[in-house]
Amino acid sequence: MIIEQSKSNWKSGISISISIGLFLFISLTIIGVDELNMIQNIASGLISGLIFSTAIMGIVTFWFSFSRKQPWMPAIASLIPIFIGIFCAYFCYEYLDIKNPNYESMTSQGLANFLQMISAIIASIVAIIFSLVILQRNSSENTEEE
Amino acid sequence: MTGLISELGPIDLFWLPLATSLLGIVLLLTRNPFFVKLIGGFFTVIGLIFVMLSPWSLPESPSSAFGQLLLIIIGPTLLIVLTFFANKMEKDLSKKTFGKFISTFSIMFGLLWFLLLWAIPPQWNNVTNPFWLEWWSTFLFVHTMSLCLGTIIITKGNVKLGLISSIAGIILILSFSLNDSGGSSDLEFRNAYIHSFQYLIGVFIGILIGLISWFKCIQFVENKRELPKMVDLLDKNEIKRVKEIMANNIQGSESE
Repeated sequence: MIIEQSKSNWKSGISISISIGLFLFISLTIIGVDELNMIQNIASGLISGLIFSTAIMGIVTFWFSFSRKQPWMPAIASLIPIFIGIFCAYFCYEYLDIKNPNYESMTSQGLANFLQMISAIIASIVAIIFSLVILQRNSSENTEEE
Repeated sequence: MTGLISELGPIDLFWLPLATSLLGIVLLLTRNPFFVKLIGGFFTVIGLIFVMLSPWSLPESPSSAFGQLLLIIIGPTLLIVLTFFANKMEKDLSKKTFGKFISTFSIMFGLLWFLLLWAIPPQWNNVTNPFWLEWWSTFLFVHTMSLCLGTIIITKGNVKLGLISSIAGIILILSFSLNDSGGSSDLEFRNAYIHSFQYLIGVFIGILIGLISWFKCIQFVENKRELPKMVDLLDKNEIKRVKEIMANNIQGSESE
């Protein structure tokens, strides 16, 4: 019963959050923006996220394999997704027209996108912690009851 | 010169410290031994200090704008993070009067600090920091969404305050996108918000695909490993010999 209720809470919570996010997105788009390069923006975020996560997991796998004296196969296998990510980046930059003329080369644009991703991750983490701090605070009514 | 050999450049003063701090965070989060955690913490702090000093060490490099962003957000972020962990460690800091005062002060001061940064945006090479507006819009968006989610799923906590803050977040986003505020116009905010929204979706999908592909690769390799062979069963003679040894041992122990 409790699990069912918690599941339905999660479902309704996620659906309401997504609806509000979409409402804000659509409202702001209707009010007016310069240009809506949806595929390019999502693809540049996707590439940065893909390479970042595979690289971090590669480091973690390498470290664990090294420390536990396991064979090198997992460490080598973890390099494959990184190469797939780099290949995917090359493909997207070449064929999806993500190249920005403000940058000298693909590498400099990739590094700028990487920094943008890190700043987006930091912003998300700080925002979530801030929300948790607000939700953690007990109201005066609750405190009196306890 | 970019660096490493003749004179210090962006590689030595920015990218290497950034990589070191990321490695430090990985060590800090994935390893248990205290000494390794200590080294991870040390790497993170030293790396971040170098990155945050990049506006002075590399004033003309475009990467130093990110260092400036970290430098300006570190204060309010630390305030909020410390309040969160203090609440966690003390079970509930806000129950005690002094704790409640400190907690309220930290939250309000952190929020005011962010709003002040919004009113007077950080300047980098005589223009507004290129990372700032996107950081701010991402922060507002994720904050509002997480509060919406939090108020519905939590069973213990302040739902009222969460709901009010989440509505305030929505109003703030709409008012910033309808009026010029701070150092940017309404159009700039809308552009930054839409861009950061799409970018965040991309990052989320990218991280998800990355984790799944890594998991599948490791699973494939682990499944290919040969299982240790089972020891062959004993033949009749060996069974007979084992029985003899066991009988001798039992008889020996009984006679003693």
